[in-house]
Amino acid sequence: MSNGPERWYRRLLGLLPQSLRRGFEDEMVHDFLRRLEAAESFPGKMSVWAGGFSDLVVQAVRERVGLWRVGRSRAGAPERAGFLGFFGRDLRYGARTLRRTPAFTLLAVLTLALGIGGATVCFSLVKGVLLRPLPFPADQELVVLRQLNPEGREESLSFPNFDDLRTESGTFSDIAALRFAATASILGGTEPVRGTVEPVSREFFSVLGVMPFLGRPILPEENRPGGDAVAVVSYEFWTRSLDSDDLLSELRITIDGTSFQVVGVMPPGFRVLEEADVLLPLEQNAFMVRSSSNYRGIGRLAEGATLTQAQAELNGIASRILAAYPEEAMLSGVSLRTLREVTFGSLTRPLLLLLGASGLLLLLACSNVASTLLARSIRREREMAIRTALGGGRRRLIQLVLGESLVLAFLSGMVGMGLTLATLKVLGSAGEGVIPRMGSVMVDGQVLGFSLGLTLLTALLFGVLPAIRLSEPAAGLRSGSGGSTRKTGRLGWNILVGGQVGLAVSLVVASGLLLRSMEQILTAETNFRSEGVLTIGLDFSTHESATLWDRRATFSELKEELGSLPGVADVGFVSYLPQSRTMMTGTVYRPPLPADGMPEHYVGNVGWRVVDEDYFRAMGIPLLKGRFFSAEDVPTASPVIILNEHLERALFPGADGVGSRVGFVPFWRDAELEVVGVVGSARDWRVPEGEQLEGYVFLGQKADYARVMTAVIHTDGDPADLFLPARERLRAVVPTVPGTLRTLDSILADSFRDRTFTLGVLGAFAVLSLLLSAVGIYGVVSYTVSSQAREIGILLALGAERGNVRAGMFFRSIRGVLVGIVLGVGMAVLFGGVLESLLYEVEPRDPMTFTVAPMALLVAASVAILVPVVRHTRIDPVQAMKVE
Amino acid sequence: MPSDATPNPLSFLPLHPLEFRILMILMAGPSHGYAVVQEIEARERGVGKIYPANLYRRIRDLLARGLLEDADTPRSGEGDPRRRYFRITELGKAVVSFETRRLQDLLDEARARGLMTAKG
Repeated sequence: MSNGPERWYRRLLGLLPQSLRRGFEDEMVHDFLRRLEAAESFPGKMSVWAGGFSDLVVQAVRERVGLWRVGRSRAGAPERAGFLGFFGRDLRYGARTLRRTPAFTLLAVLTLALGIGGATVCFSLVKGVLLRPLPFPADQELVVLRQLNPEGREESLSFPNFDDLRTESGTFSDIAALRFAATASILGGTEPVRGTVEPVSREFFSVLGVMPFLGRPILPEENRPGGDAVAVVSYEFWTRSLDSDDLLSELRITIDGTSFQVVGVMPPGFRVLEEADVLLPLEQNAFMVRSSSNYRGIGRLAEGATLTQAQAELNGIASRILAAYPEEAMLSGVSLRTLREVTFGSLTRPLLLLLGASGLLLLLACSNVASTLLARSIRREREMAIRTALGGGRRRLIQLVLGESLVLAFLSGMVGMGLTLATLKVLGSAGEGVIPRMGSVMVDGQVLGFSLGLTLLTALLFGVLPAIRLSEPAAGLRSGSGGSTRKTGRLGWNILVGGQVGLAVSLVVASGLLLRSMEQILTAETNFRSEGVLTIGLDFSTHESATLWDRRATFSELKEELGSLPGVADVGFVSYLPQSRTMMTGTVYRPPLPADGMPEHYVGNVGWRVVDEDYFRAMGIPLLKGRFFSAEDVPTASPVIILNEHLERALFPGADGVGSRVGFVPFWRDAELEVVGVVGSARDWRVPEGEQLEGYVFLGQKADYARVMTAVIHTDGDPADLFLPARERLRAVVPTVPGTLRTLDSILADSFRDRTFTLGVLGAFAVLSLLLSAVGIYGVVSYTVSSQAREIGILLALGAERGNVRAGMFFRSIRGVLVGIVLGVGMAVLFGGVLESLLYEVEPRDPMTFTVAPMALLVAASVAILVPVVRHTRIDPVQAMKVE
Repeated sequence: MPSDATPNPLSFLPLHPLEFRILMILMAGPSHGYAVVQEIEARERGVGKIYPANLYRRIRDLLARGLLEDADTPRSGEGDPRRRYFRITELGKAVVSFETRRLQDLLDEARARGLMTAKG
């Protein structure tokens, strides 16, 4: 007895020639089923099906080509007669017909090629990005750990919490900790560069199971306080900045003033969670404060352990930790997600959505070509009738017409493949940094097979209807019959037109919704200005400033120099820009701090920034209450803090926070800070994922944290004009400090790049589908109208108003369009929920999108109908009646 | 003129990589198709998956060229009587050894030209 998958696979095996099936069929079925069983997840099974199918298609083609070659030398090979011999004639016939109508052929090929190309690109993206394992052995065992704070919010782990989880867990074979990659200035190559540095704990290499491809990893004895200063660099950094120097013993780099011996180079493309140029020993100076969460854990599940078991175990350990350190642990549980999910989680939905959209587009292209073929078919009715009269069976006729479709499909498949290659090349550079492992996306056998299968399917989809229609025992040789529109034909066209319009409406609605969210994101209140702002990233770690006082003096000198540049209104300093990815978080509470337990009012995961007195003015961040920092806030005075709106609301619900005192751990352990002001919440890089809680402390009181600062310069003119003069001033004041100059505009554009990328692709889909459906409608209407030329002629000759005739024809044609619009809107409503997580402040049933998109389709369709209607009713009635 | 009875092993070179892998694995003893695939995929990461039609097309060609032959189900406990087992022929073994030599020479040349610095 055979089950579902077996039956299907056996059926698919029919693609292979008998010579290959004979003697191996059972083996193939067995192997395939075993492989299917081994894939546990649904995507895994789909991947096996896709692989198995394209394997069959590719091998079938290879076999045929092989047989064909053999067939040439050994005449009379039976397979040849069975496939190409018989069909070859139809293919040649098809090619001949297509050559006779080059304009139609070109249009059809382009349309189909767009459809096939789009679907193939999306398939190769899904396959290359989602279905490929991560480059770690047994990557499905790798799990990312984060902690849940008492409010249940996910945040990073603190090192002591990580250490306890690691030691006590039995479901993990081991767990490693990573700091967030931070930017630093790195010396070692020919010139100082800004690079990313990621400290990792001693378990890092063994947990991931990846060793440096050159040299050695960081050793456990180096990964502890007082260990040697060693570093492992990425392959990309090694080739880019260290000239691929393979004499590691003499290779040293200086990071933020400390010299490190390079001991290893990771393999190309190595990347965990984010790009890092340099890996450093984390445990030489781990942040041993339990309430400060700055680490991510990556664990490898022990053999046989499941994620559910691990989750239960870690939650138990977490509650023990919380019981032991109730006031600092900040740990109500542990969140576990597989590394795969974390790496691709945000991509899965958009990519699958793209695949779905491209499938719809292909369907649209097929129905488009089908309707044009149908419209054309009427001219060939007589030819077909003659063939029938001469004894051509219905089957033969269908084959004949399908031959034409096949030629068309293969031409389109080839052009589509070209489009795929070109698109992937463009995406390769545009999508870099947006889509992880974009580089590994390529056209291989599987993608080729997929495309080939798609082409065959396409040919069937758009070819069958016209073929059946043409081979119908038709009106035959009765002359003049070509004009009458048969009921069945009309219904077929209406279905085609309605279907096309429906598909196009749902595609346009989907793109419209995403477009609207993009608009929302770009126009949302940012609470800071982005235009006319120049930023200079400054790294003082290599700068010799003996005391904090000196550094403060340096800042005022810089401020004076930069402020005297023409057009500059304000100059401020901040540790991290609102859009910056490097951020430290702590916990803010309202005193008193009880001896045991948590304070009554506290907020965790608060981002903190060090700013000077002019930063808010330079950025245009509004002051809502109280005052900004001022020169009176000297180091000896009581420390001050400014909260953002969200933090004030969270900490002092319904009350005024200004004048109150708060604690901020772990950054300010020794004193309480006085809240002197509340400012608007400047949107940061996490938005739109959630609100951001932020506290600002004063540079004048906390200069020891001012190692990396960014100068923010607000100017009346174009900030780009300041590049050269600003760099000169910088060099004059602090010649050894590397400065990175960028306009705030370009930094923001970067942070929205992944969204603009998705949007661009979807926008292209929308425009294409609109265009395709308009062309399809034009084709159908154009045919319907021209086939009614005689009726029109009679009507006009009888004195009918030209306008009335036109209106009648227009309304008859638009009916199908209206039905399609209703269908499309219905589909969009049904599937709108799929989009929900990608939308920002736009309802999945946004009324505006649902009005504009169908209107756009209606307008496009009306034009597509009116043009042929007007053209064909312009003729002289006598002429029209002569037409046959 | 070489007779049909004993073909020259050199005339089979170079082998298709997949054919070479199949033959190499069967050097260890008779086996069935799925076991061969599993071993290839386990040993070599980055080969990609080898699906049935691809595999059995190669196996059929190897059988036709006399490098493989059908074998009985092994008597040991692991033998599955429902599977088709294959065994490498003497000719197949000779071809494997020549192909190995050919690849070795190729590697030697690459090394001599200084193309192999970093160790994998």
